[in-house]
Amino acid sequence: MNLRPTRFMLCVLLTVLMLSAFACTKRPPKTTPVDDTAQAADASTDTDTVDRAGISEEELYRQQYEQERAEVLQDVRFDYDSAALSSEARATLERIGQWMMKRPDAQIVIEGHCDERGSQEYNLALGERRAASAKSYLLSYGIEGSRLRTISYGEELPLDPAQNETAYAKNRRAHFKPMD
Amino acid sequence: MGIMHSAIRYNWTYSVFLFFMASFIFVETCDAITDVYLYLPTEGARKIVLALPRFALEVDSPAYQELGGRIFSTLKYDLERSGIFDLVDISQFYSSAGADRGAINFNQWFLVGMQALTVGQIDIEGDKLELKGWLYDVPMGQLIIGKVYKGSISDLDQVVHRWADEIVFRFTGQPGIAQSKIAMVINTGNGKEIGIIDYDGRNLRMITANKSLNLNPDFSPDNETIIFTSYQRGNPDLFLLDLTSGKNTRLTEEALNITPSYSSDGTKVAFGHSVEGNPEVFVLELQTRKKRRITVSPGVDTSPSFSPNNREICFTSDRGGAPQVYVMNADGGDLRRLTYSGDYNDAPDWSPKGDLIAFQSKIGGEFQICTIAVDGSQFQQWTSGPGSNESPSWAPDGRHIVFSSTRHGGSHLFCLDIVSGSVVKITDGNGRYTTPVWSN
Repeated sequence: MNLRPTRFMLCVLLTVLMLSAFACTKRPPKTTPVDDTAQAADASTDTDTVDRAGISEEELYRQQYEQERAEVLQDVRFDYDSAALSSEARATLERIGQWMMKRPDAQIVIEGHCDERGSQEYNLALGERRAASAKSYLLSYGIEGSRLRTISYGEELPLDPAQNETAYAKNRRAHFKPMD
Repeated sequence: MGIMHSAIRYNWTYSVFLFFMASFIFVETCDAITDVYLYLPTEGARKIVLALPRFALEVDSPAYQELGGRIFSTLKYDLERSGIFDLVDISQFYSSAGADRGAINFNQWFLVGMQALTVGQIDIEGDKLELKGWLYDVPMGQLIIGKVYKGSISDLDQVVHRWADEIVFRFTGQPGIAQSKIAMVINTGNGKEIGIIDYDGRNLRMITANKSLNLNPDFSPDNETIIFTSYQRGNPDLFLLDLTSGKNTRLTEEALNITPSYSSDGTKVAFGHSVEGNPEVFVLELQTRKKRRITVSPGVDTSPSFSPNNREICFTSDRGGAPQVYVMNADGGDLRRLTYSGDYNDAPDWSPKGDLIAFQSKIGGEFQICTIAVDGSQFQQWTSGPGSNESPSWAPDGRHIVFSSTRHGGSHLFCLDIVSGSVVKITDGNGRYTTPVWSN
């Protein structure tokens, strides 16, 4: 994999980003969370950690985690009839990889989507290739395969139903969401 | 009875008329003189001039006028769509046409150019229906076939379709397609469900209602089961739906499972299945549920379709850089590329006659329906103009192809006749129909 130049540039970028993003945020608790649901359940019973505002540390951690997640899980876009990762796509995946390294509990589903101009049948396969491209990048980054699940939706779930190039570009995407 | 002014005679009072079969159609044959009355099956041959008398009604009520109108229009539509008849409106000679052979003046029919004549009679009793149909050779003055169909009024369309198919069979030696069905995906706005319509677009029946994505249906060879991809359990898996019992069986449990297509013996299904994110063609043995990988390439391999003898499979692959149609032996051997024109060909469907493969090809920025011979010759483009024409599927007669098109806005289903080249729109309403597949 020829990732070294990109990784270097992104590490610089990420360092800057993290310095600005985390300078004013509280560090999360050291405990290794199992999942969001367990955290929420713990928070409801653990009155010792409730602060004056009525929010537990776990709750704060969860809110921060979800905020980070929403910020980092941005769509990766693709060219027409292609599952190749652009430099922009790799940059997005670098950020996701970094975040997943930092949050070992994070597990994500990678959805592959297509625009409607391709054929419905081939698009189901192309969506799979797009999701797989994103997954293989994260694997090469060092994320365990068990934390990544892929699913193709072909052209069935467009983000923007309009029939113009702007909409098509939005619809040719890998979309990331937390695993259930 | 004198001169019959009606090919449909309604009988309100025949209370003891025997109708044993309420929910399905019972057939008996009367006076068959030949098995098949071959007349003209070949391409380019002249059509048979067939006289189809307009049905009149003895009982002149709006309800029965509607019924009679539906019978006539259904039969006329079926015979026109078969493509082998030149139907003649002969209402001016109507008074000479009776169901009773003795009352038919064949010489008069012959003088006005008729080659064949079909007349019918319908008896109604409660919700029961009996159709008697007769088909005559006019020059010979001879009965070709007579049939009696019994069913319920709710079977009206099916009864007429059955008689139409019989007429077509007598002239071509092949069953007509009027009784066939088309399954397709319907965008409900709250998911995509699978529905089945008659080949003429009527009698829609939804067969899924799970508000998920249900895609790419295919009929089993006996038309009793539909196989399709559904996301109803969160993953794109293959499901078998028994159309009689409604039993829904999940066949796969992981990765991508798409574009299933039955073998003609019904024992196997070819489909696209991903291996570590790479879609390949697999064949699933339905009895053992064992799947076997058929293609090996780093590119996309999907959309398989068996040849009628199940020895070969055509499919789409982008191993050459863009989606193209390939053919291989059913075990993956003897691979060859079939399409070379254009840079986007997909959705191949092997004709039940074995000679042609239909597919969609991007030509001038729009998908068009095309066919090509199995040896790569005889490329033919059948649609043109604006609108995307996609997902061709052969009728069991190997002559008609159903496909979806956005040419009139939305996405509607259309039927192509590859002998005449004519295209007929078969769905109405707001277009939301895609990936049609014809029954067998």
